[in-house]
Amino acid sequence: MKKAFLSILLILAAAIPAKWHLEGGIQKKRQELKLGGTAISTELRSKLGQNLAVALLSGFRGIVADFIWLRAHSAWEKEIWYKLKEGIELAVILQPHCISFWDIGSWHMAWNASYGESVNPKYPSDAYRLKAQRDWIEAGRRFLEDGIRNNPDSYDLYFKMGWLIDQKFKDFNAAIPYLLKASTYPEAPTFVVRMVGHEYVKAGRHQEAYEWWKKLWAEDHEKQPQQLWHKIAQWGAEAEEKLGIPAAQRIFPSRHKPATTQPRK
Amino acid sequence: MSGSQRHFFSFYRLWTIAANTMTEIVRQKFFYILLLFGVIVLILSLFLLEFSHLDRVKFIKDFNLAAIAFFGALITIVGTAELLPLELENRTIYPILAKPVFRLEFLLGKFTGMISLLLLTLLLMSVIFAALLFYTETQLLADAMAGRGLAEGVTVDEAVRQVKAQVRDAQLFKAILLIYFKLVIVCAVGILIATFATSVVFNVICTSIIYICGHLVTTARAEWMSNQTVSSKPMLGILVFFIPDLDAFNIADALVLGQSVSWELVFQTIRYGFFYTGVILLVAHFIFDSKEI
Repeated sequence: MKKAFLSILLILAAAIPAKWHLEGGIQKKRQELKLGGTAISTELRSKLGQNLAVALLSGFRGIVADFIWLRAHSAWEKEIWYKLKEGIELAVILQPHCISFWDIGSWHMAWNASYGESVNPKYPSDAYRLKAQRDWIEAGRRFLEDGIRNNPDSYDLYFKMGWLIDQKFKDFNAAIPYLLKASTYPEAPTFVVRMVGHEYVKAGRHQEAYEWWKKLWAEDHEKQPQQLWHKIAQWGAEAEEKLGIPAAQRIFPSRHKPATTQPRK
Repeated sequence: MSGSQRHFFSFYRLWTIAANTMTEIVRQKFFYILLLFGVIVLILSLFLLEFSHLDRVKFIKDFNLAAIAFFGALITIVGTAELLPLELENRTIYPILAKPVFRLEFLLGKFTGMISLLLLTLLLMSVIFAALLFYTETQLLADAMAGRGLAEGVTVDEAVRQVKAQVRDAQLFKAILLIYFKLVIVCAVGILIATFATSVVFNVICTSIIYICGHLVTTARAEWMSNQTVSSKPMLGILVFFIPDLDAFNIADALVLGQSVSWELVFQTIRYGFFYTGVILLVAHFIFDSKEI
């Protein structure tokens, strides 16, 4: 018995430093890869409630975040906006790298909650309604900013920010940098790239829009068969028309003028 | 083991005990019930999906991986807890140890039997998970082809590509692999407790507590390093120095969210799993060897 006890002590004496070393290496690697969410604090535990906290402590972070999201969803259905925001914010604390939480969360705030407040009969006047509406739009914008800070490698949130500024603030010039940034990501779908050109047009920056369409048109059409090349040609031709580009310098096949050199009658 | 004839450690004897252990566990009701519940919960995710209003692929991956980890842990904890106490209670251990069988062979045989069964259980659950993913993909592709639920500006081709990229994620294999190695550690912990515990309930409770505490080691480690309060240090120290860091095996959340996890980290974690399992089994061996049976 004494021999066994001594052997165990020896094993532990050797194993504890090795455990510390191995765990340290794994943690370092995990931090490099940005794995895991926020550390489990007392505040987070109290916000979650008993059952979800136990699930979280047992390592089921993903499914806990999904159920929190469901709770937020039911708050949306009941139009309890503060609860919706609380749920969304808790979900992103648990999974800060879940793009859809940031994306849909900001949409809930800037679109659904802001509209809900804009028609809320409980407010004494339209001024209050307008203020509440603007506050929710601003909350959605700030939320997306946090999302971008947590996920700078995602094109999606940059695009959503550009779209939010376009739709809710009508500040097309301010939206352009976000859309441009989104378009630089190789995984961004083709509509993201096209959106930049449209935003230039909306902002009245026709020359830049034309340059953008030209840049897209110069790309290899074969490599991107899913791109809407006929639409780009159409928008490019419209820009040429608008800017009064001389016929000889035009590069886009016009709707009115077929691509062939056949003279107009 | 005694006698004039000298015996050496035999893998054949170890495997015989392991095969027997597997048969024993498979014959028990708890195994069927937990496995059945596990399979039902996996399939249930498809119906829950209808009410979830969530990203369908994320939900099905989250739910299924959590179910695999949860039911895998339940089967491991309950199964391991019964291994030694039942042998003692039924007195079946005595004729085995009276034969030329080392206690280490017996212990490792029990352990190998349990982890082999666990491997088969996880394989079965993974096959069901893959089938559910395939079913979800079929539905999503049908929606995409019909142009249903397409975001503005997204072409059908792009939608199809997105669905395939999201569903057909070979990285999920890494998540299931690490779940398995996490459960191997839990199994070793269960065996260790079983060497000195006589009650199955005590073993189940202890292993469950260690399982939960194991997911707090990372937090405890950070707290231990930063916290200067003397009163909480010993408790944190126990967590940090003696409890396995089971959260290190959790990469499922990151993989579901599309984050990349390198093989380097996976192998590093598996190495940690081997190390910890080895240490626990060695300690268990010394306790079991000195036990009067």
